[in-house]
Amino acid sequence: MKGKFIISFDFNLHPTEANKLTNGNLTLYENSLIVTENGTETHNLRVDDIEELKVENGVGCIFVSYISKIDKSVHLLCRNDLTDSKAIIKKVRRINLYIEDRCIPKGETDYIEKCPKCGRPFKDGSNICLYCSDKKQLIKRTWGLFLPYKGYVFTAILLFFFISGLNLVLPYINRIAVDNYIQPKEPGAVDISEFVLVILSMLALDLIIRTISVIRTHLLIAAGNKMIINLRNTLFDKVQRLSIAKISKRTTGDLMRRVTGDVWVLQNFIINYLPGALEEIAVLVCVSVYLAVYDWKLFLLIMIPTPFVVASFRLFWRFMRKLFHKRWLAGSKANSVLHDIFSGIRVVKAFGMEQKEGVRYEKATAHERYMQEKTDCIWSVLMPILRYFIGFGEFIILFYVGNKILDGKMTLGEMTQFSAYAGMIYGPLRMIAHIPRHLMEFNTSSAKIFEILDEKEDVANSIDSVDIEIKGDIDINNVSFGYDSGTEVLHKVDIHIKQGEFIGLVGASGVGKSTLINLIMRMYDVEDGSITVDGVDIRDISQESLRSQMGVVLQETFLFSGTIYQNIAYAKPEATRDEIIAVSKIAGCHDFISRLPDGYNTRVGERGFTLSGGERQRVAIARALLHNPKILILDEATSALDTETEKQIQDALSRISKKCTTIAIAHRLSTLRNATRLVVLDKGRVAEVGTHDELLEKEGIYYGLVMAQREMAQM
Amino acid sequence: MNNELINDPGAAIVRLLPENASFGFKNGFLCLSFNGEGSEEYNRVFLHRVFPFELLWEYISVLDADNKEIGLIYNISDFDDRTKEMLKKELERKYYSPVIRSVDSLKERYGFSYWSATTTEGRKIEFTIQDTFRHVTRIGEDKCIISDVDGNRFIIESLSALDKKSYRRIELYL
Repeated sequence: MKGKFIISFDFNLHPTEANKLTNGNLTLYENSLIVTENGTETHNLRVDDIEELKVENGVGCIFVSYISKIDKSVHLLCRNDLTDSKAIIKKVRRINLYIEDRCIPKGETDYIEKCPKCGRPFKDGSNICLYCSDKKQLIKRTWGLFLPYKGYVFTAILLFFFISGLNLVLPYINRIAVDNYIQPKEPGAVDISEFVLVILSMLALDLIIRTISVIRTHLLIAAGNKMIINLRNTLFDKVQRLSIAKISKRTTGDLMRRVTGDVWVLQNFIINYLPGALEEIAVLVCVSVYLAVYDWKLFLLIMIPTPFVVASFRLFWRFMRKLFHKRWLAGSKANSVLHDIFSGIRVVKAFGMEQKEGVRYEKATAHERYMQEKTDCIWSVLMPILRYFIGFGEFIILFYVGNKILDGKMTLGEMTQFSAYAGMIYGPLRMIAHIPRHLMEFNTSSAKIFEILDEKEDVANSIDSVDIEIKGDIDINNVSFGYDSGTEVLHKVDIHIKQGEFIGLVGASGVGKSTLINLIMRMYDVEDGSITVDGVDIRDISQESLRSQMGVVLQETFLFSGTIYQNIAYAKPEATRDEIIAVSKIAGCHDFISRLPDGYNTRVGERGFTLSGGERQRVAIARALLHNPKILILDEATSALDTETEKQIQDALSRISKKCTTIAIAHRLSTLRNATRLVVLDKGRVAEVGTHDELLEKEGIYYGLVMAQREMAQM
Repeated sequence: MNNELINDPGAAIVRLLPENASFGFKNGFLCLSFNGEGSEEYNRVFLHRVFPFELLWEYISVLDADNKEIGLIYNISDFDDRTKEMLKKELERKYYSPVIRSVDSLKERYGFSYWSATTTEGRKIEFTIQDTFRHVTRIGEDKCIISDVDGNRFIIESLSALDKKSYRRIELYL
C-alpha cells in the first residue's frame, strides 16, 4: 500500500548514462517512494527503509540518492540538469522532513521557479517575468507615480500643443512676407512699414514660443525630479525592509544599479527624452493634419519617403549600435587591464613584471584604437549617405512645388511655407526611429524597479507583532533550516538557553553556527520548528523591538564612513561621551583610540584612517555593548586579537554577560573558556552539550578539537 | 616550480595507476580498491577535473567521501580500456555540459539573452543568460563555455567550425 500522495518532482537526465535524457519522476507517497523513467518503474522503496535522501552537486547537474536504513549504503536515484535544481533541492528537504517525522512539514510550499505564462525561469531571485511583463501596465504604473504632480504635467502637455500650433504659424507669416512684400504680385505697391510689422511679428512669435518652451521644460523637469527623488527614496526604503534572504539573492551591485542606474534611466527618459519626443510628435501631428487638409497630394508626396526614412534609420542604428558596443567593450577591457595593473602595482613591481604588463596594456589599447577607427570610419561614410537619401524627399517636393509655381498654381511664399513644413516632418521622423529603443530601456528599468517595490516581505512584522521587554531566555525548538542553493544546514536543532547564560557554539567550519545566529537575529525565518525569546515566538515580536535589544558583533566588522565616535554610537546616537568611553574601556579599544592624534574623532571607513583587524573588532564590540543589550551575539568577535587582549576582553564580557544572555562562536576554544555551557554542532545537528569539563570527560568531538588546538599551541 | 621543490615531501602526490588502483561500479557509484601506501577499499569515490577547461581526461583528482584526495590520475589512458571507459563515463556524468553545434537564434531582451541552439546530438535546447558578456567565456582561441542563469554549462568546442550565421550571432560576446 503506497498510501496517499505527498510530494513529487520530475527529472530529466539518465542517472548513469552520461548524456542520455530521460523523462523521469520521483514521487513520495505515504508509505513508499517510487522512481520512474520513461514510464517504467526503476525504484520502489518503502519509506521505512530510507534513512534520508541526499542531493549532490555535479557540474551542470545534480544527483539525488538515498541512504538505506538497513545497511547505510548510498544508492543513486536520479539526475537532473540545473534548470529546476532549486525546486528539487527544496523538495528533497521536505521529503527528508517527512521521512523523519511522518507528518507533512509546515512552511514554504512555493516551488515556482518559472513564469506560469511562458515557462521561462524567473531570474535573479525575482518573481516577475520580464519577458511577459505587461508593457501597458508598466506605463500605467509609471504614470501613477506622476499623479501627485499631475497639475504640472497637464499644463506642460497643453503647452506642447500650444507651441506646436504656434510653430505652424511661423512659416505662414513667412509666406505672407515673401508673397506680399518680397515678391509681390504688383511690384512697387509694398508698404515698408507693414513689411517691418510682419518681420516684428515673426520675431515676437519666436520669442513667445521660446518663452513658453522654457516654462514647459521647467514644469516637466520639476515634476520629473520630484517623482524621481520620491521613487528613489521609496525604493531605498523597500530594500531596507527586505530580509537578508531576499537581499543576498542579489549582489550589492545589482541593488545599487536598481536604486541609482535604473532610476537614472527613468529620469533620463522622463526629463531629457520625453519632452523632446512629445514636442516632435505634437509638431508631426499638427503639420500632418494641416498639410493633409490644405493639399493632400503634397502631403502624400512628403509622406512617401517616411517608411524608408524610419526603416533606414532603425537599420542604421542597429548596425551602429553593435559597432559602438564592440568599441565600448574594447575600451572597458583596456580600462580593466589598467585597473588590474594599478591595483596590483606592488605585486607587478615585486616580480619585476612591468614590461610584460606594459605589453598587455599596449595590446588592449591597440584593439581599442582599431575599433575606434573602424566605427569612426563607418560612421563618417554612412551618415552622409543616409542624409543624402533622406534629402531625396525634399527634392521631390521641390520638383512638385516648382512645377506648380511654373504653372502659376502656387506662389513662392507657399513654397517656402511647405518646405518648412516638410522639414518639420522629417525632423521628428529621425527621432521617432529611436523611440522603440528608448521605450525598451524605459520598460526594462521600470519593470526592475517595480519588481523590488512589489517584492513580498518574507520576514515582515506580523500584523499582531508585539514589542516586548526582553529578559533573555532563548528556546530553539527543533529548528531545521537550509538556504536556497544547498542542502539542509540545520537539522532539528533543539537548544534551551536561560537568561544570563554564556553559550559557546563550537564546531568545524560550515556546520551551521553562523546560520543559527542568523536565525536567532531573525535575518531569516526558520523552515521548521520555532525560536522563542522569553516564551514568545520571534516571528511575533516586532523586528525593531527584537533587534534593538540585541548586541551583535559579526565576523566581518564593518565600520561606516565617519568618526570612531559615530561608529560606536551608531545604534544609540544620543549616548553621552562617558558612556562611549565606558564601553570602549570594556571592549579594550579606549587605549588605542586615545593614542590616535584625533582620538575619538578619528575618521574611519572609506578614505579614513585604516584600523587593524583587531582594532576594528574592538570598536565593533564597543558598538554592540553601547545599547546595553539583553542578548549579546559574538560571531568570531575576537578572532583577530592577540591572546592577551582577548583574555582581558573576555573577562570583561563575562562580567557583563551575567546581566545578559551571550551566544558566542569561536574557533579558538580558549575564547569560550568563560562559557556556562558549550554546544557542539556537527553536520547541522547538536552533537554535544555541556561545560568544558563535562565535554572533555566525554572524549567526543569537543575533546578532539581541544586536543588538536593544544597540539598546535605546543608547536 | 623548480625540480627541488617537486621533490619536497609536501608536494608529494599519489599517482593512481593500474598497479595501485582498480576502479569499479557499486550501487551506481564509482568505487576504488587502492593498493598503494595504506591500501584501502573505497565504496564510493568522486572524480574531479583539476583543469576542467583544458584537460578533460588528464589530471583527474580522485576524492573520498570526505572530499579528501586519494590520488591523482595523470591520464585516464594509463588504464586499460574497460577502466578508461568507466572513468570517462563517470566524468561525463558528473560534468554535464551539452556541446553546441549551432546557435539558431539569439535575442537580447531586458538585460537577458535568450538562446536557441542545437547540440551535437541534434537536440534543440533553449536557455537564458544574464549579463551575457560575463557568462560567455572564451577558452583559448577556439573554444567557448557558456553558463546560463541556472548554472547549466554549454560548450562550443570549435568556434571556427561553427556555421557563419551562428558565429555572427555570438560574435559580439566573444
